[in-house]
Amino acid sequence: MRIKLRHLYLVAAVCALAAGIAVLPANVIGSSTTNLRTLGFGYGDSIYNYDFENQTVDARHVDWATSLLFYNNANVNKIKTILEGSYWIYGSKENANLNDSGSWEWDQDGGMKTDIPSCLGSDAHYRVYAPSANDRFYNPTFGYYLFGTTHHDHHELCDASYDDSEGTEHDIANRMSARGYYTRYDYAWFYNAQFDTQGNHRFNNDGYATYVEVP
Amino acid sequence: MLAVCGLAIASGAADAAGPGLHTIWQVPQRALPRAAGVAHGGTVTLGAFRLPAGSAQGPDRWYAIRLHAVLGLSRSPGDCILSAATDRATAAQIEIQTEPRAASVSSLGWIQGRRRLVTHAARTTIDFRNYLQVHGVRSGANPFRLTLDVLGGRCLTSIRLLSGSGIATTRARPDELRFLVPTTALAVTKGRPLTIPYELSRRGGWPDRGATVTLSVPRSWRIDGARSQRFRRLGDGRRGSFRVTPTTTGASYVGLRAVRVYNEPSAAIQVRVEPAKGWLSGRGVSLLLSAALIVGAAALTLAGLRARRREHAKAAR
Repeated sequence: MRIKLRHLYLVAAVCALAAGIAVLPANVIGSSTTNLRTLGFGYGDSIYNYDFENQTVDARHVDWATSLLFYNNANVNKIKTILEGSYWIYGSKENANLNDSGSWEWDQDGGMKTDIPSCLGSDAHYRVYAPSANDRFYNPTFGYYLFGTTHHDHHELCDASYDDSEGTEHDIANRMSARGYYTRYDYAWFYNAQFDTQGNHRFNNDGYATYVEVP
Repeated sequence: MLAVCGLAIASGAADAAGPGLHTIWQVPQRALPRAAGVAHGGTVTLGAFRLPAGSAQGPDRWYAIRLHAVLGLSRSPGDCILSAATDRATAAQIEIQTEPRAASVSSLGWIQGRRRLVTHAARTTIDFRNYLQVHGVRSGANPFRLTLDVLGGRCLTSIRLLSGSGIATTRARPDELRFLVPTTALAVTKGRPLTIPYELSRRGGWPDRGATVTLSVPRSWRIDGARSQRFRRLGDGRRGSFRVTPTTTGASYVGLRAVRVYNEPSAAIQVRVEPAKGWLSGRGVSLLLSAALIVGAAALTLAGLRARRREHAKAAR
């Protein structure tokens, strides 16, 4: 079978287009918000109301809205241990920018998920953040505390998409409440209500964060 | 009434709770042995301190916890959290992680800052102090509880609570020292010197004992000068700077820390180190390359269409 010249042109065009997209700088693509701001927790402690894809504060490259606050006697290891019966798989790392001692610093967490990634399955996923050297904040208003983001992962190994931060926040609130922890679902306005779709990233967050008291 | 006793003690110069702190209540001697009961997990109430009507945390008088104990460390893998609370509001949280040959004990508070001890010994002594939570101070009886949360394995073989554990007061505000540092990344070219500026501000309250600011940098970076700077007095605050020469490229952090003083503030400053600039470097080139390839794709598609048209014309002839 004879290969026609126009077929060669077509193959070359497709290859060149794919290569062109592939070499686009990775940071050109990202999820964005118009709600990015800092939240103060007293005594100079502050966080951003979203976590970030990179260690750069940039409203065009946010990941998920902050939707959880664990306080009184919280600690990253302790929260993950409490939830490990349901959330048992490590997730990929994202970044939070926070201020605990007069200067802003980064913390990274991969968080925990309810299931292993697959082509057809979905899982709930949370990440928790605190100053990386301490794994918790302390101040006289909140005691030992930390904050978190939530979402759902779908079909991660094939046509991945991500959504429903509100659903995972609700799931964690239910689980903590069922274990006897004083839980106030959607208790505080975190200025990050967002309902839109950007690529495979669908924001569905009502802007209110859930508070869980850890004894 | 006990608070009144505490005020009486406050007039004394020295106090076992530490400089600037005045003990108002101690866990009763008869209750100390009960702490041993939570060595494998659980909660125990060790008494209650009473405060007069109108008592509150700050702004003039601040209440602090002191937890003084000897911990027997397990020789097996374990992770647990020893905490103490007044009125269920936790003010002491000490994380203990044990391995067969060593154990780490880390604590965080606003009087001693962050502390982490790695030990090979079978026992360690903790003497922890921290400001109580606002909700942990109220008029009337304030129960004092000790809790051990076992997160995994077994980390403690024993807890021996020592006398002196209890509640103290101070007139010093909690957030005493703070670093003010650049909040955006500092940019520098690899091999060129960079100045790291900082300001250490002091709000007053604790005695002005000065401070030593210590710089930490990524391995192999050069510090041009001393690694630490000592201020004998801080007053309302002091300014300073360090000079470093980065030897690696990319985003890195340098750290500042004022150790063994008040709330032990620390700060991290992001530094973006660029390689010596060449025309092939940077995001612009990759965008240019991307654009060239996409334009190339368009040109090839057009050429393909033309070739097709020529083939059709030839076939028609």
